Amino acid sequence: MTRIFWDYTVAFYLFSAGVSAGALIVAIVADLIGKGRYAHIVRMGAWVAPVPVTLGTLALVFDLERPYYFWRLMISLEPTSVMSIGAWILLFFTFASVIFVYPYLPERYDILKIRQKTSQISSTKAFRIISLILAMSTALYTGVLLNLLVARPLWNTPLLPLIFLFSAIIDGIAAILIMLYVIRHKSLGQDEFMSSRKFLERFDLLFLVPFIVSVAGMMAWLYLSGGHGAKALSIITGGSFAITFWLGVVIIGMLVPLAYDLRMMSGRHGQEETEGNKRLIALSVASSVLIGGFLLRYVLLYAGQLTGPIIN
Amino acid sequence: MAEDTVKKLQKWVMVIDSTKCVQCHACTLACQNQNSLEPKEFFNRLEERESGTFPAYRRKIIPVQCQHCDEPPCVTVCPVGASYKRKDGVVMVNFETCIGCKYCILACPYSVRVVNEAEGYVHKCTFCIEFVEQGQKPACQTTCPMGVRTFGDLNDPNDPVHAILAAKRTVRLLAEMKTLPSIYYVMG
Repeated sequence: MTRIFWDYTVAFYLFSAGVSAGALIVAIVADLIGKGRYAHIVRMGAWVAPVPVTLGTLALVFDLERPYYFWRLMISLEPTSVMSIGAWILLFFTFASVIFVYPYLPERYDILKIRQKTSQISSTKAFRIISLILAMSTALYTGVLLNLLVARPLWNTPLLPLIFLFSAIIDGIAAILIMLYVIRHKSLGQDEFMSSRKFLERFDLLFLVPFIVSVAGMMAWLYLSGGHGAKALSIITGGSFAITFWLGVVIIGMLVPLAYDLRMMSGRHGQEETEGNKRLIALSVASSVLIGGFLLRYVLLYAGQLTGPIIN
Repeated sequence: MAEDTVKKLQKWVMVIDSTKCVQCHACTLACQNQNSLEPKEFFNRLEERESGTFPAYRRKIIPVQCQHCDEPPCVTVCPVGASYKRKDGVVMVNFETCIGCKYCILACPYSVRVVNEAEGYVHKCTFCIEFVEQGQKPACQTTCPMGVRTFGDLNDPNDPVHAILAAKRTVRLLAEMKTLPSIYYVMG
């Protein structure tokens, strides 16, 4: 009976909204903490934020059976529906991320002549706080969207929204790190680059560990709760999603970045390696974080739909 | 007609005596016919459950369709208000408003909602409300050769459903989901 109603396009949306939200969270926090020291992280975060969420939203619209009616989400507000609330959060978050990046656009692209205005708005503390709240809401809501469905025991676990938030932040960090390495800004000196990278690695560890702990916690909760939940868990840990989960989510998405972060923190890294190698390793690890982030949502989305309460 | 139904404050329920079911699938076909469904789409189905080993082996057939819950999760999650509950207890979908997001399908514990692939909306059992409003019974009941289903008004003390509910022990499917279905099952 059960079939997949939300396929990989929705998994892609959940992932891309997470990357965007995470990138904006990192950019704003780096700005608040660094007071200008991490201007490059802020810039890269601003660049990253609007892009994935826009692509993801587009994918989401085309997942509707009636894509041409998507605007109906924007003429209604159903307070009991997470999707309705989420659509509004998503709209405001996307606006915020566009306002945030606008002052960074090259002068010649300022067709609307609102650079001055957006720069004023985006530099205010109130805007940053609101954007931070919107970004966190975006990351959390993608979890709550699945979490509140009592009919889906795999999703109906208390830790799911937190897992999505932590995952979003580490995905955002990975995206910013890739940007830092790929588009090294001309004005970025070696010292600044190192301090930015160090900040990102510390920040990453700060959320990677709770991420791993909360996924383990969710699995323990499902296992101990027995019944439908334990059955749903078993198709992830030992069923058709086992390889994707253990290899993709756990090893590529958790253990590889954890090993990298710990090695970087220990300070023993880098004596014997060339600059090119370091760059290659950092880019591979950041990519594996993103792959793991997508696969986490993919596995949870599919396995959650394939398992449900059994009528008896 | 719809207005009258609402004013009288009926509460439509169905009692399904699964012990009488012989798995002939006539209800599924009658429903598909009544609702002009594609062969692969259906609003009601027969679930088969086996338990125990011989000689204590048991097999039961559970006819499943929209449970017209009093706390319908599908209505709660609908982002555009297309899924709604009438005052007489029937859960309906406004086909015009539905955007086809399928969130309600995922929210339903009974897996009874179907995508209309031609039009892109989600539809499901309506208790044949077009018949009920004319004082008739749903197609799945009138077609059943074994008298498995009894449809009636819980707010009418003279309705035959009361006799069955009083005489037999009934359960509601997945009661732990707290959806409070309008369909009562005699499981035997």
